[in-house]
Amino acid sequence: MLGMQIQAPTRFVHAGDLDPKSASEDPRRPNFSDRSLDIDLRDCEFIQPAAVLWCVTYALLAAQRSTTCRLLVPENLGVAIYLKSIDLFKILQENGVEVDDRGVGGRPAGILPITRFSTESEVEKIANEARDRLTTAGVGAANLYSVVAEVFAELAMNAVQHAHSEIGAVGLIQFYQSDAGERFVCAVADGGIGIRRSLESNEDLRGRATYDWTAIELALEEGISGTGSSRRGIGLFGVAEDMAMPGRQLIVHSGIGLLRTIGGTGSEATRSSVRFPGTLVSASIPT
Amino acid sequence: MRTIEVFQLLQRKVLVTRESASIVRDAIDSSVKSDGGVNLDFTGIDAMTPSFVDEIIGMIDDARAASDRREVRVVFMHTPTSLSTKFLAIGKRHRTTMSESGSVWEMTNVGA
Repeated sequence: MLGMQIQAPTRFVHAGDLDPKSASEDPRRPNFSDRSLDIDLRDCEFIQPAAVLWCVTYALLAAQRSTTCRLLVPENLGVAIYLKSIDLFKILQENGVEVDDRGVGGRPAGILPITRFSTESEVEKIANEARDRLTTAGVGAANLYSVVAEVFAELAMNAVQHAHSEIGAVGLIQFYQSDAGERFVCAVADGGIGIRRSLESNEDLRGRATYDWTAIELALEEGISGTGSSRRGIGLFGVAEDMAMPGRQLIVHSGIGLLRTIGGTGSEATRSSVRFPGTLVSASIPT
Repeated sequence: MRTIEVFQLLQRKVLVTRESASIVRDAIDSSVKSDGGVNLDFTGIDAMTPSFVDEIIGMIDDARAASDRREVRVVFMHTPTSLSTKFLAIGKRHRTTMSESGSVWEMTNVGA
C-alpha cells in the first residue's frame, strides 16, 4: 500500500497554504483507494475555518474510497482543543478516520460546529438553529446576526443544489475574538464537481468558464448559473455583494481556482498550486 | 389589501428555501385576485434569502397573470434586511419595480 502524508503548515489559513507536492492528489478519483493517508496537523499553531473544512472534505472523500485515513492532532493543546470544540475530530471519527485525541479536553462549541448536510430542508433547519444560537450566545453585533444567517444559508444552498457531492456538504459558523478585533466566520465546503463543471452544464457558459479561476469570477456575477434558469444565479453574487463592505473577507477555492477578496477588492481569482477537491467558500464578517 | 403574517404561517425566523415560500401561495393568490395586491408582514422574521424572495415574487407574477390584471402592488412590511442589489436584481427579472422606505419594501409588478 502506498502511503501519503500531507503536512499542514504552522499557520494554516486555507488549502492553498499546503505543499503542492503532497496535497495535489485528488481524492475524488476512483484510483485514490490504494493509498493510506495521514493529514498531519501536529505542527499547526494556527488554523482557520477554510483550512479546517479542507481537512474534513479531503478526509471524508479519502475515507469514502476505503483509504486508511488518519488525522494527526496538533501538539499545540490550544489548537487541538479548538478543533475538538468545533467537532472536527468527532465528524472524522464517525466516518472512519482515525483521530487520537486523548488528553484533549472540550469546551463549548460556539455558534455552529462542523455540521454535515445534503438537503435544502436540512439547510433551513440548520440556519434557524444557528440564528437561535447567535441570539443565545449574544456575541458580536446583534445587527449582523441576520447577515450571518443569510450568508450561511446561501452558501449551504449552493452546495446542496449544485455540487453533486458524494459526501454531501459541511459548514460551520464561528465567532472569533483576537487583537485584530471580533468577527464572525461562515464557511461551507463540499466534495463535489466544482464551480467550473457546474457552470459548464449551461451550454451558454461553456466557453467562458474555461478554467477554475475564470469560473469562480463568473459565478460571482449576477444571473450566472449552471442551471440556465433565468430564476437562478443570485446566491453567490449576493454573498459577494454582502462581502463587499469594508473589512469583510471572502475566500472561494474550487479546483485550482482561488479567490480572496477584502471589502470587495481583489476580485481577480488566481491559479492555486493546490486543488480543492470540490468547492469551499468562507466569509468573514467583522463586528 | 390583505396582510399575510409570514411568521404565523411558516413558524421559522430564517426563510431559506423555495419550498418554504410555497406555504404562502394560496394567500397571495386570493389577495391578488380580490384586491389587486398583497401586504406581506415579516414581523418576527430575522433573515431571508434571495431564493425565498424570488419564489414569492414568482408567485405574485403567477397570481397577476391568472387574475388578468396588468399591474399589482406588493408591500413587504417589517423586512429583516435592507433592499440590497441582490434583491433588486430579482425584482428586475420579474419586471417588478422595488423601492425601500425604512423597513418597508414597495413593489409594483407589471405584466408583459
